[in-house]
Amino acid sequence: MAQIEIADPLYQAEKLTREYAARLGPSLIDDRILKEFDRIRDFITRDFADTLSERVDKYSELGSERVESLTGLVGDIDVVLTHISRDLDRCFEIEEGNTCRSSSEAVDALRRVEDRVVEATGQKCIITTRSVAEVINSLSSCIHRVADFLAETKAVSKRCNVSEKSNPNNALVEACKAWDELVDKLNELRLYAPEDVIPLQGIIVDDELMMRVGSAAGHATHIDLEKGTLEYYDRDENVNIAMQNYFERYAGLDCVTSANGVNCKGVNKDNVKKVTKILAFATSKDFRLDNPESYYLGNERLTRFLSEHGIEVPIPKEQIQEVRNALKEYIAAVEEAIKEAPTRFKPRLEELAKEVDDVLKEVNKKIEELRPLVSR
Amino acid sequence: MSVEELVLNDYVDLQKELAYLSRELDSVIKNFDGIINQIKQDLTIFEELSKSSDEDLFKEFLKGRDIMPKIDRIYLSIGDIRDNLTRLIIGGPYVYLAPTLRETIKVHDPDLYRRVKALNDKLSSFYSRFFKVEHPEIVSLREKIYRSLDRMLSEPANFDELLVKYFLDHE
Repeated sequence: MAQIEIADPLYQAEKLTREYAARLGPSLIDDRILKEFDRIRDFITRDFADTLSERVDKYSELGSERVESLTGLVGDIDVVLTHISRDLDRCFEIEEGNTCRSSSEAVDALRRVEDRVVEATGQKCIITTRSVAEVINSLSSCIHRVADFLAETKAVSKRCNVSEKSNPNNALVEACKAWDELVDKLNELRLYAPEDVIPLQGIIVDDELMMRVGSAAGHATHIDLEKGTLEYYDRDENVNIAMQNYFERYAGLDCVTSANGVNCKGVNKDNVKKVTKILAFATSKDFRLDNPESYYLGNERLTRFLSEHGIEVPIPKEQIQEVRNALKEYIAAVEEAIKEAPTRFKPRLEELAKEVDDVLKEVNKKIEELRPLVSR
Repeated sequence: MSVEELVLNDYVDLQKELAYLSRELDSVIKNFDGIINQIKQDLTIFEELSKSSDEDLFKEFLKGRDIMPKIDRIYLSIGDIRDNLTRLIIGGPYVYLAPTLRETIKVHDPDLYRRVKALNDKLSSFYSRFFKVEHPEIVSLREKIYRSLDRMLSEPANFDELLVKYFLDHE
């Protein structure tokens, strides 16, 4: 069983399920994996359930009506776990690992969990549900939403909190604050979609910083200073490629990109501030990639900022030359088209109009001549 | 129906087509100066842009690419003239010169037939002379500008990277 390193059982449950899902992906299901699942299930139905119950009671006493939907959460999670357990047994018998497909019962139960999470937090949490590993990963994401929502934390800056029950790493606290400040600056520069800014937050628990860097359903970003790892979750390939580049080039990390995000090694107390500041650029990056004109080119605040701070936008010489040539060709073509317009085209057009009118008069005359013959 | 009635009907049809042609030509002539002046005015802006320094040209587009509507307007203006003339030629004498009608008019009034035919030929020839640069070429050149602009301006990663570097170095 994975060693539990975080004091808060809500985050422990998230971590256990997340790490289990990651291990389950590439492995064949064996006895060890099945036993590990049983232990996680025990943890969720005891420690997680107890803590959740305490927190929900506490919030209810404070007058929060939103937490009421969480009172039946453990029961619903247990239903998901029951179906997952059956799915795992089935796949164990037919020797399936990462291809172990989830049953519709497990997915339906997971949706009921998500409904409760949405009712309490306003945020969805299911990522994907095709395989058992994906269902567990989504369940972990749902638990994370709840853990964030109920965390017993103390604010250290606008968006950064530390777990009161833990011994938060100071380098992570400072890194989170640096991220928080940069988020404000980038937001002022209109680089974020408004809906993405609201859920942004960071929670430091011991040597781990969990950050919500966007509004999409899915995991938060994890930095584990003890392990020296960064797990950035995103399903947008272009965003992942760009983020990997920044992490490697500007923070010196060693990263691997997959369909689910970017995993990096090499995070330490000296570069973690760089890492969090780079993470400020993950927010709304998909929007910026899709709408460069509104976020960059038509963004007066940004262009003014660049100019005021002497940040030169590199001018792409070759492309400029291409535009220049295209403009010249176009001008030449239009000029050619209208070259003789005023001196020759218009007078000639007027002549033709007169000819048409003359023919029309003649036709009118013929009609007048013929009418008496027809009406006779 | 008597022969006179048939001929009269054909004349009435011809009368309608010529009246339509006359109205279209009047309309083109009436709006002609305005359209050409607008095109010239837009071209001046393009010419200034094409002669500006690389920095100025780039900044002009960075301001919000307000040049694109002007490109569209030039295209539409050229298109207006051309469309009017196309409608005028295709919708006018060609329709009138349908085989049955032609035979009737040709037999009954060969002089008039020749006159209308000559008029139609003049319009066609005039039209092709004026538009030495074919319309599809103008369209394709416009598309070329769009493609070039896209290549020049669609490197959004650069902007984020500029800011990443700046904020890591300066703060």
